Amino acid sequence: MKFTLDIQFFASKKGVSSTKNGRDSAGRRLGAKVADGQYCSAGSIIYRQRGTRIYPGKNVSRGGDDTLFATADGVVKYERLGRDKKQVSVYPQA
Amino acid sequence: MIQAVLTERQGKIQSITVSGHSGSADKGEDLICAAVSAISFGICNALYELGSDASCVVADNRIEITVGTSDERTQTILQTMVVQLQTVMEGNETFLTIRKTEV
Repeated sequence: MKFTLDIQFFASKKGVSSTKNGRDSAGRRLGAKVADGQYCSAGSIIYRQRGTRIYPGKNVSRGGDDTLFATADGVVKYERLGRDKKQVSVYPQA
Repeated sequence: MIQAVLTERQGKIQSITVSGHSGSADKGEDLICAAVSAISFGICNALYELGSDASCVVADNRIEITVGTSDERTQTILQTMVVQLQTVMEGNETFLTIRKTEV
């Protein structure tokens, strides 16, 4: 035959392949909710985190999802804990 | 989209040009493109094998068939091509269009 059939002669040049990626979950808005030196009331959330980036100090407890919350009214203080850790405490105002 | 442009003079086909990308699927899986390619190459070989006075130019995504001295058999072959393309186009207008112009 004079012309050899190219069965994909009119196809688009390069394969426009699809990717299986391209998905992401929404941001979880983690991090500090109350800054150092700020006043907060008992029960208010101080720090959202995954795992214990920051440990609970005085008047602060850790929730099931590692969220730190105040157990007393007072001023928030971020402090060092040992050599390389941090903790957050709430000091009631005199 | 693939475009087939048909030029006619006094009801006789003078040329058929098929060009473009089908885009109905990736290269290697594009069924519309396969159908149109098979029809176009088949007709070009038919014109050549059956001794029609017609030229076929096969370039990048473009096939141009131009009739020299028209005869009944050549017209029948080209009209067969048009009917075949119309058959593929039915239901696939997004990927193939046929346009007729009078010269």
